[in-house]
Amino acid sequence: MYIRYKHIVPIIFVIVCASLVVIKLGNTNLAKALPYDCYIYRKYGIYCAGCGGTRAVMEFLNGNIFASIKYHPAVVYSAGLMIYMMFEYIRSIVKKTELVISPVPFYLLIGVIILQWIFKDYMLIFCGRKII
Amino acid sequence: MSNYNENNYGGGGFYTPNDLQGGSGNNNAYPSGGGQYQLNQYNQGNSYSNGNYNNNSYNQGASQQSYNGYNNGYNGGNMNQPYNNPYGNPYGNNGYNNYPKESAGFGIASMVLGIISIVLMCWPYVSIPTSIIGLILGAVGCNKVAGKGMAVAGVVCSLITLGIAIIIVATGVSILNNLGIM
Repeated sequence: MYIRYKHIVPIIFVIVCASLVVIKLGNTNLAKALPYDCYIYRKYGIYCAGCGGTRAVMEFLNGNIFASIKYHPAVVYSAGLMIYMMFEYIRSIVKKTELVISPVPFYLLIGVIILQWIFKDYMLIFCGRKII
Repeated sequence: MSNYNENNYGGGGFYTPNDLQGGSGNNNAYPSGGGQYQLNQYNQGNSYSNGNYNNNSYNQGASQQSYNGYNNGYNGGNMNQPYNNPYGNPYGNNGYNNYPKESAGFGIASMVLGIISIVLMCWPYVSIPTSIIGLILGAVGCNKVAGKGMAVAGVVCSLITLGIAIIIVATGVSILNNLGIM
């Protein structure tokens, strides 16, 4: 996909990296800092698509990649996706070309989110096993 | 129809410096003299074929002949170097590369908002606005050629999130009704 305003890619990258650095250096507990808990889990006893994301971010910041994947694989996948986009951006700058990024990784990201959601709820409902 | 053959570039076979310079040129720039310049003495193995081609400079490699005022980049006989045609490439302008490049901005925005809303679906204050905006942008993006797939993905994610968020809000309202707050 052709991105006309390609300089938004490094801006988003810097904002995300700065936020993670602030969380890491400030020893912020995201689970307590965020103003909500999962209403779906509290009400219905099943996971939503974002359940485990906070813990996955914290584990990712602590360097526990496998634990982060276990809690929410989209976090690690998103990190890789941002690195890929920055790589394409730098390549477009060096070669002085337009920024063209394949949409397939984004489709895969949606698939990862939905699949892990289905898998975690399947394990919880039918197998009685809490993944997170 | 091309007038070009191995010995003639066409265009009548004769160039006069006055024709090339709009009537104000220097006739002495051409060593052939006489005010006429016969092209069929320059057989340079060029495969370029154009009936209206007016080549005004002949740099023939080893001979290194250069005519001042008419050097438009023609490099006769040297096929390794690109041909610089000041009149444009008659083969490249076939219409296939002239379409305006369309950005997939609506599709990208719709898909990103759909992803954000589906991850934050348990927080209706965020998921409902993002899913509504993503739905609108996706509907606009579906009418464009570029980014149509991403727009569809954004619409699907937004619809899923919007449905679940509405259920959450409805159950929340029913809970509040049961508690006698609303």
